[in-house]
Amino acid sequence: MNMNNKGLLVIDMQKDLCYNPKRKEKIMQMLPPLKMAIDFFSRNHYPIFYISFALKENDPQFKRFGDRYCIEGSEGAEIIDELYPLRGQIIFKQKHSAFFETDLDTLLKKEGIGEIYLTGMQTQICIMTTAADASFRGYQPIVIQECVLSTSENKKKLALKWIEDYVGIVDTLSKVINQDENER
Amino acid sequence: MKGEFIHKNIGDGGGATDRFIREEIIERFGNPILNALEDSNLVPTESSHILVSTDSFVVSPLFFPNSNIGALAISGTVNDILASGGIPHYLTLSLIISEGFPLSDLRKILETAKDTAQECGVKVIAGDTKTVFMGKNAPPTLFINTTGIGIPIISPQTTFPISESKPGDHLIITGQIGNHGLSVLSTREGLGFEARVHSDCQPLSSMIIPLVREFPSDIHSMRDPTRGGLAAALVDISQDAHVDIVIDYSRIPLQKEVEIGCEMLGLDPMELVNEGKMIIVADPDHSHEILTFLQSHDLGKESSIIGYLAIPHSSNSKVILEKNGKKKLIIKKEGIGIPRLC
Repeated sequence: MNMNNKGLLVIDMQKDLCYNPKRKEKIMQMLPPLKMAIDFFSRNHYPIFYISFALKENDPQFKRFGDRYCIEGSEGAEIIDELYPLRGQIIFKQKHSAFFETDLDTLLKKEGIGEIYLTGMQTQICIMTTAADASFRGYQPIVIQECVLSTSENKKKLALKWIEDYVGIVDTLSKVINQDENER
Repeated sequence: MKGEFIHKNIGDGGGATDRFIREEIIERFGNPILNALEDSNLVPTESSHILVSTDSFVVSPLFFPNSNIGALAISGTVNDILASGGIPHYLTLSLIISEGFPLSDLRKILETAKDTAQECGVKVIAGDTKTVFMGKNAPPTLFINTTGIGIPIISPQTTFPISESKPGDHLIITGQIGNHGLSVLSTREGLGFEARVHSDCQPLSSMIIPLVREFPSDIHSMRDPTRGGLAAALVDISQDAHVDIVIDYSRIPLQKEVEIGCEMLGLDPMELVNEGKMIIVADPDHSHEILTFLQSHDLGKESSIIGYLAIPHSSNSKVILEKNGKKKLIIKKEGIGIPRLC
């Protein structure tokens, strides 16, 4: 199978997580480049996947992190209004990596996708684990740096460095777009 | 049992208990001793002394890459007996199962336990089953306790206690460290490493018994680096034997994915649990022969001499790790937790 196609993952952009006062301001700052990235991938017919937590009422991570969020079927688990209309399908997950017990791997292979562009949040958790998982499964993960965030800038910086050191590439949105245009 | 889930009546001593013991336990683990089903069973031994070890297994998740709690409960106790120079002969097997636990999962776990016990030649000679109610919304779970009985491979005087470790001795680890700990953590949290990092959970009988027979006086002590990992085991050896320990980090066998996973999570691979490794403290004049012996075995291919024991410089013995030209003291931490996730 030709694995040259590209795909975009928009990770955890859900109401409970994005409208949380701890993150809302940063989310709003990230939205313009994120929407630009979604628009670019959509316009060029690259598949887009919205990765969303769909957690059970008794998920063990609630006890550990002292917070309840993104419960399956709840309004808080919905993708934020600002990203509608959606340009791709939603993939539900229960753990940090977008690949963990989901159909993502199968869908990416079906679409012949080799390069996975990662956006969303948080850089040091779900972006990092998804990048690692993608790399171990033979994909090339590329993180678009203006389109990911962490509550702490330092955590984002360390996470991006770790991704570059071990499993993937970190690029700006303009570089991703220019490179794509040059390839045509 | 009702349907395909564990019902509380399998632990109440009635007909359902009898059926469970016959169909699920005796069917898999049956032998003349266990089949007697007496309040206690008489077991023959060939030695004036026996080695006894007990352990309880509460891992979450119950299934992890390459293995499950069934193999863990057998190999964990078997390896403890081996570390004291024993041949594991018998095990007890106690199950504490939450009501509603899927019978299909329990059967998979018992099958793995059976295969692991057969692999290392141990017989299950007694057991117990209880059911517990863990709460309305609690996910179903299972805890296992095993107690192992072994006889000395060489003699009752050859149990390889830590106190026999001496300054000058070499330290050998029998393979890559940290795989079990990271594999379980990654599976529990969905961190993406479980596709590459597999548990090392396995009984070491086929390697350790012939090793001890070959080098009975050149092995001074043994310890399996389970909870607390290599770091905690080294601190125990240093304190109990009153020696300093110097470790060369570059000689510690480590899978690349374990190393980068630990860096991602802010963990130290030396603190991660192992379930199929042994630390061997060896006479320095024979440590390379022991190493060659280990490396010729499938379970010990990546064995390495990682350091040595020294006379302590002060009354407080310590473990010193040499890494990238720097020295660092290894201490036993209170707990490893799950740092830097959220």
